[in-house]
Amino acid sequence: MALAGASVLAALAMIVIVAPLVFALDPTAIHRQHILEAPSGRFPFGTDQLGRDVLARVVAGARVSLLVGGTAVLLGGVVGVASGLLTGYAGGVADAIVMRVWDVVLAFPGALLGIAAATAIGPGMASVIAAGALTGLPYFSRLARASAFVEREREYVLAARSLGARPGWILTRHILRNALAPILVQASNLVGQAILLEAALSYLGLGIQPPNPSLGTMLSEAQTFLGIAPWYPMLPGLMLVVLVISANFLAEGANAALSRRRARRG
Amino acid sequence: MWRYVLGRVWQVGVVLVLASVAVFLLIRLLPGDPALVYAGPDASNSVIQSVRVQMGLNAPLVTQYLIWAHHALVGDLGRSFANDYPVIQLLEERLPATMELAVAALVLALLVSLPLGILAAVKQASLVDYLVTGVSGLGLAVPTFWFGFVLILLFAIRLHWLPASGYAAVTADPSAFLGHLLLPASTLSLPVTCALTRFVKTAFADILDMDYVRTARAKGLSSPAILVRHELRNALISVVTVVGLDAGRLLGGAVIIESVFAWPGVGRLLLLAILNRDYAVIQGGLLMFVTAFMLINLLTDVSYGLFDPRVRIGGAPTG
Repeated sequence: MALAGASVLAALAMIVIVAPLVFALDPTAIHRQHILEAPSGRFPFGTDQLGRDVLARVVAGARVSLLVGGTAVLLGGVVGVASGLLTGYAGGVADAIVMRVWDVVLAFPGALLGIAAATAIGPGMASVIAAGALTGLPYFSRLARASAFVEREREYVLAARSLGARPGWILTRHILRNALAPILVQASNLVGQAILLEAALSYLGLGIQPPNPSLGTMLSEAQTFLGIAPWYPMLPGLMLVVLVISANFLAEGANAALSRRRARRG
Repeated sequence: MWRYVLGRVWQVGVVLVLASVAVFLLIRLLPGDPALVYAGPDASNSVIQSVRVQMGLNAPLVTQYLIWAHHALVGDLGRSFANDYPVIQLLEERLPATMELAVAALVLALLVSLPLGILAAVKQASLVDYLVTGVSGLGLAVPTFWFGFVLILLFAIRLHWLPASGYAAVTADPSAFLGHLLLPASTLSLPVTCALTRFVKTAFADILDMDYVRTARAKGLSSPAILVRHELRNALISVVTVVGLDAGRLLGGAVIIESVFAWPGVGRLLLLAILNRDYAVIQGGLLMFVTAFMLINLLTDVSYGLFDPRVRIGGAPTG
């Protein structure tokens, strides 16, 4: 299942990156004679209210979804892991303060973080990525902190320290390496959620701004046409479902692999 | 028990104070002068100066926060930049609609997930189990607002059973109220229903393996009796915690779903406020949501302590 998820995700990534290079898929080209046309040979996903190719826009939107989802998780992961490792290893006041700060972030559901980010830096790709990164950050930080807490008492760390290794070296070479597997599982868990958050915020007008294609903004434009052109609001949503399901499969597989490894170690 | 409750109150209080600082700073540290925004683009220098004094913007940041927090505590969240209404009044007008939506979604989620989750746990590794687990997994990957599209297409446009959007007050017309409520509430409940179903299944499956359940069965107790007397009680303890967390998720989700169905709640108010740069309303709305969210968490923790004595003796639950 994880393999299926990973391969579908990889295939989709390839398609959304390569397809525009091979086929003439222009998400902004307007075909005036083809307004809200049902799916056909020429337009497999039909056309929208301006006569744009829905397939081209779905492909472009999926690219934005993957880009935003990936960047948000990467950003949240790097900042979260770094802060968790540092404060977990150091302990004391810094640790207490940073953990409190993440508690405060956790007090805001994702949609509210999106509203806050859109208010602070204006609606756009940056605000969506910031909101996505913030939702994941506390989890990464707690995970890394827990690892640092456990590992810093282990003999090998004591040995490294007594040999004169600097904290930076110990953190990256020893502790991070041991904490990496659960962190990667967590990252794969969060990609799907980040994609869903981007879609929701863009749908509300707090994310990617038109005319840039995003599955969320497409859906907010398409909602009006539910009655007369149902394929138009349905297909971008289905694309999102496929993206998120494959990300979730990947996460479940990663999770299973991790627990198998833990079970083997005893 | 009191020790445990006080500990939780203290922790929640600290987070709440810090969250209010964050909400305050979010607006105050924005580029641009709030007085300029409030007074409008054509205001003269002297008007801006008087607005500045009136809003207390000349005081140090800490003093400003303390004044703002003090006002918020007594229910004064300032006035809307857009229409000069008191923010608290705007929120009070919109809050009932959001609460109706969130509560209805929670009830729906419980009504669906408890029986399905228990069924999947009792009939483990059967077709029913795979179906329930599979469908709930699918539901978690569906964008919630888009699920609303699907429901509108099906039940409003194709079948004409329910209205596609809008709102009716329960006092004016109870049946119209329910008709308008059903689609948005079902939409909002989707992710919570799916997550809860999976959780209930796991919670019950774990308890089915417990020694005391096996003992009860060996004593010859019938399956339904075991289910009700031994399992339900214990599994519900953990379910309560998750429901508490989900209640907060429902509030956040309502902000999005209200837009799909033109539901006149706080979420719509906030979105409009962002478009208008109505910072007083954004600030008040965020503060209200965070407070509600933290209070729900507190209630959850306290009820958890009531149900499970181990929690209150062992101190606060970790994490």
